[in-house]
Amino acid sequence: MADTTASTSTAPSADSVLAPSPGALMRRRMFGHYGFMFGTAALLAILLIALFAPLIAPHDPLGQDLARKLIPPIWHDDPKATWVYPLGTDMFGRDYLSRLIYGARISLLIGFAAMVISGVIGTALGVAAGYFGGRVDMVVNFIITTRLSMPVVLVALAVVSLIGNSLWVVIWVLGLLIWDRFAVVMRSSTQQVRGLDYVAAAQALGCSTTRVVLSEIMPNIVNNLIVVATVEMAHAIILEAALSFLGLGVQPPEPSWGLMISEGKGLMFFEPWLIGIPGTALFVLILSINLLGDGIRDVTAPENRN
Amino acid sequence: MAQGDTILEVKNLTVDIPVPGGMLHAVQGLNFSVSRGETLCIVGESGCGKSLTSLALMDLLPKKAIRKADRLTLEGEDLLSLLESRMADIRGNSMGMIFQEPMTSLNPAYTIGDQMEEILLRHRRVSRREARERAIYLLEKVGITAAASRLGQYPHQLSGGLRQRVMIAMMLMCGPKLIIADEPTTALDVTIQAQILLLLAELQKEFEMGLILITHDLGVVARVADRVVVMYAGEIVEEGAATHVFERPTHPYTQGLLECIPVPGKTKRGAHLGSIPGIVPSLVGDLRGCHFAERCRYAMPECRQGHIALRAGLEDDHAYRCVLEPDVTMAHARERGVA
Amino acid sequence: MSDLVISAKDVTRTFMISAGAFRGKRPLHAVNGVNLDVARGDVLALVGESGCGKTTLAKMLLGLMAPTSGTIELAGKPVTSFERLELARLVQPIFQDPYSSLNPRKSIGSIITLPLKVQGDPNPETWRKRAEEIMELVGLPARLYNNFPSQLSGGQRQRVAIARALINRPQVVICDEPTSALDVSVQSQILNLLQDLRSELNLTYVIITHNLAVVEHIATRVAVMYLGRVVEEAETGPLFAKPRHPYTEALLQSVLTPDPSLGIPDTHLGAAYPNPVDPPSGCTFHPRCRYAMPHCSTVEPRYVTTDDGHVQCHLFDENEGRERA
Repeated sequence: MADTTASTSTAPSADSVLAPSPGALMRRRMFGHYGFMFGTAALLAILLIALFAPLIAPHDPLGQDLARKLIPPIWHDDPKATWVYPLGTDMFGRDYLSRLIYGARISLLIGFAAMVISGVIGTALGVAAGYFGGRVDMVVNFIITTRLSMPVVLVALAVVSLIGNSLWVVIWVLGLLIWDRFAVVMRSSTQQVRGLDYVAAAQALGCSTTRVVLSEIMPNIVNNLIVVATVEMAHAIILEAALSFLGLGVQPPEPSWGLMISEGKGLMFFEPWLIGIPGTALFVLILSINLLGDGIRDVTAPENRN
Repeated sequence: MAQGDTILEVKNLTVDIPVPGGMLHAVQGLNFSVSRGETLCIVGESGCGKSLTSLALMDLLPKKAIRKADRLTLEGEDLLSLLESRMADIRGNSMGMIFQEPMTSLNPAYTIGDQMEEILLRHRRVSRREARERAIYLLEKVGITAAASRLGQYPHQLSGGLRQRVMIAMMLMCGPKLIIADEPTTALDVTIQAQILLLLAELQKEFEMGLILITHDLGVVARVADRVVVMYAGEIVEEGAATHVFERPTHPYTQGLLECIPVPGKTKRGAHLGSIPGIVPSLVGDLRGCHFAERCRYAMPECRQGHIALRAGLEDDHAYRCVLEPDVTMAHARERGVA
Repeated sequence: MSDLVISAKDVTRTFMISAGAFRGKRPLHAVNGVNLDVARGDVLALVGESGCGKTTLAKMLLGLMAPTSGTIELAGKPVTSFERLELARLVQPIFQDPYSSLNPRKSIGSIITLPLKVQGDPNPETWRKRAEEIMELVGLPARLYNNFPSQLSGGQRQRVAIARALINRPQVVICDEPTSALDVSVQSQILNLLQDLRSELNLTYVIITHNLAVVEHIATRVAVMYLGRVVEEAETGPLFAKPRHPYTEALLQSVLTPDPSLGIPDTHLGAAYPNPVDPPSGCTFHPRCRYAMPHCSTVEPRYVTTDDGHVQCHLFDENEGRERA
């Protein structure tokens, strides 16, 4: 009969009770990590603002009133500033606060959708290359190299100017261009996990390839996936802002933050808030996404912190 | 310094590490010394503190760890109060260290020659040519043929056994007085292990060095050690001359360890091996009594109180930490078939 | 005629390795013409040093890799003819590193019941109970069912790996260094457990290990591998008492028993382990052999059957009319 006296106590050496489960450990780390908490809070706030835009925005973001144009924001020492338009108005008399709020929707939508599209493409390619190796790896590497040799912004500009620039064209163009980091990171993560014994054990149990990849490998690389996803979401948001700034992204009168910066650049020295406000908003959004990404990385794999 | 002189003296070495939940007393009050030409083996299982001890000697503990000792001297020089710059001078110079994984201890981005020469150049005023000559000399000493051509090779081009030989040669570049080897042969094949151990023994004799060998392998310890220190849960539970400890194991833990290993010719084939049920206790917070009491079949109420001190065994140069009288534990040893 | 659970004939596995940036690929014969028979109830120890091919051979026995040539038969059928799931019911592995053989994201219960899930076992409501049964058999408290590998000690994790391998009652278990990563006091527990399970569940083991003391203790037969070949195979007792092949002799001499009166043995092995991509000519062991004769470097030794096994060495080839000095 097996030696059951072996585990009279189940605790690993340093604790007198069982060590916390991985979930509990992660929760503890999460709440102690300032960057993570701040990033999550800020992103959540922006998300809620974007979701409830119709309820929060005081005015119609597209509503023009040339009599009210170029009113400065409330903190300016100017008789025209008023709480009716706390962030002032632009050159067409549109309320900046409302445009900012609705602009959040566009940034988040594009960022998220492009991230999902590129995530699916990149992960599929990367995991396939990492798992199967050999020829599959060679082919995927070739595809990645081809993609890396393309300058993203120029290609995006070219495609958009050829096809036309609706919101969804922008999303798809970005999604089809920024998957490379997903592919590279998922490939190396898969390679690392692929060689571990529990994968061989699953194969020896007769698990199908699908099950091995989805059930044994994916859960262990999903942390890296999330980190890359946050980076690429931020990337997509900035790219959209750049495209819109250049006139080839979202079209006026939609309130994309990039477009707002573009529209305001001519009046930059006299009415600096026209670019300062959307610029700051972009900054805060990107910063919180990055902090969230760093936080997730630190919380799930603290040994990789540098 | 003549053969037999004390190189390293350690008195009351403790290592504490703050953890969530209190203070982890990883090493508690260690006393030992090493002389020229002597091999001291520190043996124990994972979690006993042996590796932390070696790091404590070299002052390479993790930042959070707190090292204290009444005395820690190398050739009479007090190591406790040294500045890091002086300690860095000593490391690699008078005190050499060999680690378990030669692949991770050798920098894969530099050639063997570069790494070996750098050690000497760092500590001595010699020309690069002299450093190179010494490197070739030592590579040949450790049994590596075509030494000059090896200097241009990178670590990944060598096998595990060769890399470990290179590590040994590297460590000898400055002629240290004391070598600390932490599991130097665990990652190597059996036949290479024997060769490396023979090599270390020869070099030790030739260069009159002290050797501290840290391992969990009792077979290695028995064959190589002059003196043995058995560690358990941060303390020395038995120490003495190797023949004494192996032929008359007095502490129940040592007896248990010896019962666990199959010995061809001695252990009955196919029978159950001895085992030590349970696990190492938590070393956090206030510690009382014998750490081994939970797992000891001879434990009594008095084992869990106060502090159990080391006491003399049946002979000179043999001490153990137990409340039981030596003749009592020796009777146990005979019952268990390990003495 | 004993019931042969495993029968390997002339098994070879070759990898193409690139020998340098601009040179072409060269063949590496990781396993080079291996013949091996394992009878039901045997404990066969595969011993050899790194690069000898034992891990590659184990993978082929598990059906994870196909031989380049030769056949492996399990319970009379060629490995390659088995359905994946059928093979999994017949032979299972236990790996060396308890820290990488369990998926850190899965609970113990889900790891142990995975074989049932994969096989499509029809009664999911019974899975937990079956898992708890096997956990008891291997000495794991049932309450660990919902815990995760990171909360368990090395010995406990190895028990989980054993439970996973045995829950579907395979016939053969391939153990790759099952105790090397564990502490001494835990090793003996796991070895005792493996022995008990063998008699309780009527298992056949193939154990890959470098620890010859353990081999002598629990193996019934030993196969010594060197550079892809089995150079000697015999029953344990006779092999340890009177090793034939010089490499076996050197290996046995390297075993360090805890006897302080003995020193460190000199195995007289001389030169370093050769590069498997570029093996020595003739008998691949000849550069390191203390008994090497002139023709050892030119002629490959034949497979010579002995009373209880076989050996590949010119010293034992009667046709050459020589005896060991």
